[in-house]
Amino acid sequence: MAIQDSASIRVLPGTHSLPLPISFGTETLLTSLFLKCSSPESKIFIEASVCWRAEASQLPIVPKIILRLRRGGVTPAFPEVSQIADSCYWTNNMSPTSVTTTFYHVESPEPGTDGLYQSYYLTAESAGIGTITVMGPIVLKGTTIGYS
Amino acid sequence: MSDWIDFSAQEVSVGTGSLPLSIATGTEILLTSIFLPIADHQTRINGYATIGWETPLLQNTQHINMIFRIRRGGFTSAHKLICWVVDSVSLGHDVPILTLDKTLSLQFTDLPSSESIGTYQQYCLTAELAGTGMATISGPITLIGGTFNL
Repeated sequence: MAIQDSASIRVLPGTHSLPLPISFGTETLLTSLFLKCSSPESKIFIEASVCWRAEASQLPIVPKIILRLRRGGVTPAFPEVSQIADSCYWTNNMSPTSVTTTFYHVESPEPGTDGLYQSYYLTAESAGIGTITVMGPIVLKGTTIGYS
Repeated sequence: MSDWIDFSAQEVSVGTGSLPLSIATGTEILLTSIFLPIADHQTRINGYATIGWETPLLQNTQHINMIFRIRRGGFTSAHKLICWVVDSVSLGHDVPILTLDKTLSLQFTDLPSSESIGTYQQYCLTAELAGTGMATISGPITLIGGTFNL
């Protein structure tokens, strides 16, 4: 097997749109990646990592972030290939408190996409109690592994 | 590292297979496993896993420890422990939620064992609940492994 394509995006804290407030109930685009597909026997391996924080609150909060990976486009009309949620419980957090959430995903290229580029979009949604902000870094890395 | 020799992955999506899966306290259960071919002593193994889990809000305060392990060749305590991580939540009862969702990711590395040269090594991902409270594996469960030659 061989690495046939690899691409990565790293958005550092304080650069581009960071810090980025995350809306409740709607998806916000964090970053995207283009990756060259190979035959359906090959694998696309995606690693994503996002550092986010819950803003200070006098009341107990359970902030929750939903991270999604969509293929082909950023809107809910495009297939969601991975979805994960991460949250915490904080009482009386007098200052913002940070969490880094990481996940991995593997899939095979769609039939008929051999040699074409596929796009992947990483989005974030707030779904808990408390206000959250993506501080960064945001890391999205993809590798196509197949038989050459 | 010259190049990939092999790559293997299992991904159980939310709501598929046995998910959601309730976890009993003090029992190590198998989540998924992968097999990687071992060519020779020069083979090196890299692994990655992601587990989504949740804990329900109960009427009292809880401290939940979810223990995730990677074992080689099987999933009992007799099998070699390769990697061991704990994800903890302390939870009060003063918030209007039903469940708290968590995602944990880990990485591991390993060397070939002499008896597996020319055959396969199996890597098992297991979960065990400790502490006070309840937990469910909601998914996704992802276990990925790749082998390289030096």
